[in-house]
Amino acid sequence: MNGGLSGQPSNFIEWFTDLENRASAAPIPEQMWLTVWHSAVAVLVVIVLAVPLAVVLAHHRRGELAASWIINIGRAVPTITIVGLLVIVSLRNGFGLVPWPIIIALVLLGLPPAFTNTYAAVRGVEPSAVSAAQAMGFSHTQVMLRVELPLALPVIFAGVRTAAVQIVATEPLAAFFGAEGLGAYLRSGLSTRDFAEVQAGAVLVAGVAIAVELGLILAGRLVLPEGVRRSARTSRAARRLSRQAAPATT
Amino acid sequence: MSEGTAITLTGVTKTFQGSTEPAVRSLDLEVAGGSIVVLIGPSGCGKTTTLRMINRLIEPSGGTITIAGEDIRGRSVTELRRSIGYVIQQVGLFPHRTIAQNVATVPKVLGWEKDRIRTRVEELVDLVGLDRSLLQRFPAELSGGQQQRVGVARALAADPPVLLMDEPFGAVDPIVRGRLQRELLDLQAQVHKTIVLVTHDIDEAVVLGDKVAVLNVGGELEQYDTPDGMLADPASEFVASFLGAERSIKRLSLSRVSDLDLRGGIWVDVSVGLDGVRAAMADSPAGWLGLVDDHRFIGWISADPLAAVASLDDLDPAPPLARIRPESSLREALEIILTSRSAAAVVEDDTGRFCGLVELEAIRRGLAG
Amino acid sequence: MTRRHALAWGGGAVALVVAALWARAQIAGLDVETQATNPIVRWEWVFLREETRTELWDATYQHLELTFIAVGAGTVISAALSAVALRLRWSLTPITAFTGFLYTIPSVALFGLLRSRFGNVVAAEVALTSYTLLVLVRNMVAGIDGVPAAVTDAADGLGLSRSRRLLTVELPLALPVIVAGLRVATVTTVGLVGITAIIQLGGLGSLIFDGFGTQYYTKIVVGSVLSVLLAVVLDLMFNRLEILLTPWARRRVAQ
Repeated sequence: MNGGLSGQPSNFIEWFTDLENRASAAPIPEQMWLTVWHSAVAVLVVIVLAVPLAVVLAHHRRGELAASWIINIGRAVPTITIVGLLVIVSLRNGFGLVPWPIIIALVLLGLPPAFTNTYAAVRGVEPSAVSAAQAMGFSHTQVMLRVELPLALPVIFAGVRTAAVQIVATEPLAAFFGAEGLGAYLRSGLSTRDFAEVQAGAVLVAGVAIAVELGLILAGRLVLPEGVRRSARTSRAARRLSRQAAPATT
Repeated sequence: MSEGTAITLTGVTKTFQGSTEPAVRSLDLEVAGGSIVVLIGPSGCGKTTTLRMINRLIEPSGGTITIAGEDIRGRSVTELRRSIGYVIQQVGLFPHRTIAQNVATVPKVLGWEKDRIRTRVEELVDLVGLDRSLLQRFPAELSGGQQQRVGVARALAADPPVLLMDEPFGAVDPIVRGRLQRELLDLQAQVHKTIVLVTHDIDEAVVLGDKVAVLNVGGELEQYDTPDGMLADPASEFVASFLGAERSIKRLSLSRVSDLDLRGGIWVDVSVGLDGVRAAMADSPAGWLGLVDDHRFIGWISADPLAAVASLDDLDPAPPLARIRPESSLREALEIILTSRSAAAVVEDDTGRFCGLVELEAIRRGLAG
Repeated sequence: MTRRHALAWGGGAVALVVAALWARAQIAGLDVETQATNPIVRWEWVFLREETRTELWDATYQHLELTFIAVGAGTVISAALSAVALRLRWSLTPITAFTGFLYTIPSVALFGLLRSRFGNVVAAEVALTSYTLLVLVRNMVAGIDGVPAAVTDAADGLGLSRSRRLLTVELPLALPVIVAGLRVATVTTVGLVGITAIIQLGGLGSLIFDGFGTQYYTKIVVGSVLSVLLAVVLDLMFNRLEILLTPWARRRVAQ
């Protein structure tokens, strides 16, 4: 531990450079990696769980009520409740806290926005493109994969992005329940009243969240050039479909 | 009917920010008090802009507008607008207020007492032909035609001398539109407001306007005349093409059957006796004759049966296929004559009393006169 | 009440009773203050312990207090920002970007950061207020913009002054959208208040935190259940308010 208040870094810039005086031993890259890793796994699980389910439900026009329920519940259940309940479950059953209970909690957090956005996106796909595909004999799976999914991709991506940012922003909370990660700096700083550490931790956490948000926006622009433009443009798939459906003379 | 408040536009100009061309260029127009003036023209001719300058929803860039001789800039804007009725195409009823509250808007703002407001609202609702049971309903519960009527009632609530209407009947279907137009004319006969109305429908302009102002792009006044005068004698190619191809037929809708001289025509009263009828038949060029008994039209008879019978009672007149009222337009008369393939239409008033006959030739002469 | 409804409620009630019986069966006569061998919910702590009621009430009260101060302040600030955005159209984008940026800052970070400078209540309230701005501004602007142009034009044409038009026409018509925004802001804030447990506040979240610290699961469960309940009740209340505020929209009879 450090030698009293006078030994603490006086502002958070110093804190970054002054390695000896830090209360928590783990270096920054290690903590950051933990946070990122927990979040990334959670996001992947969210995508795997929410997106296909939402696409299928939306395609078959089912589960509209469920979709609105999920977002309301997701909003009403406080974050700390999720983490808290997971904590009990894992402690009771001797799982320890890391990493799975944390990840499960993050997944539960990220499911509502990802699910609801995907659902709404697929429901919002231009009906004419879908009917053209169905008329041409596409099976349900083919319609979903080759028409609805590509057309809905921009909004799905936005939903996943929202979920990802929410997950990254909440992961540090786990540190207060005994995990490690960037939140550890906040936890130890607050408990030892080392405010430079708190500030540094806050900056790191906020920085990662903002970086993820901006990064995903950028990635979206690059990967989905057409999708970024508004719905006035029909996608390549839809255009190809309608060309095929109409007679060659036009 | 030149009582009421006159509106005068002198050199009125409007150029919007960011445009090089003026929307309205130096317009001079005189609206006689108590009359309906219709502004009509293609898109961009500035008709709506001009209308909205009268109640200062748009401020003129130049020129003067006076109402009853007073410059409209003399008063505060809100005070001016409370003394002018304003009706727009989408009506703009307040969705969160009942019909009664909507109509009462201006009187409430002017501070009338509750009882006075209530009486006035009921009066107006009767005036525009709505059932009083609708007063407590909300606008969303009314049909388009009903909503438009409420709009008119609301505009007239504080009894303004001037009424501005911007395509008021554009949003309803043609049948309702025709009815609303007729009702507006009936209303005007009672209230004698000075009305400026904007429309893009030439038939509406012809029906409603005491005078019509045809505007070209940029607010250029091409012609300002009565509908009949304009149809008979368009001032330019532009006006002629705007009026459309069937100008003469349009003029027919402006004149009524009662405008014609109905005294002539091939008919005879049975009181002249069988010989008198035969004599009249001899004079008739067509070989047909109408029989009238005690101011009632009985039917048509032709020459051969007439020669054969012993008395008038043995005749079997053919009932008329074309009947029309004196207040119907010449256009309706033409339509019915052509449809029924008769030579003439029988004019009867609403008690069934015979007023005369109308033939195609009479219609043509009426138009030329 | 359809048959499906009745079945759902009946099923739910049965499940609840079974769960309660199971939990009851778990109770052994152990010391209330420690969790010892661990049934998850020690019902005696909830119902029989005297201090519990006060503790629960205090936690709930603190939770509500933090929430409403933040939403209240947020409403005032958002109203000002919205007024600016509606007057000076170009300011809408920067204002939205700014409030959006605030919303992106992770709550854990913002609470900690502000706490390092200010007292914990101030830190909490400033952060909580910031998070409400995005939704509130967006809904206030959308609400007023959503008033049909024909209605505002008619209002002007009839001679209503600007302020009268705002108060008697635009605001009432915008209210449903604004209240919807208030609903989202309030429920979100309730969730965020729990996190202020990390700076020694937390309302019902502090129960969860304590429960974790002392390994007393009952507190965690009770804190969680009550937080959710609070959020749901507030959500329903605002929902009801939205409906109450629009009597005219409910009556739509086509002629």
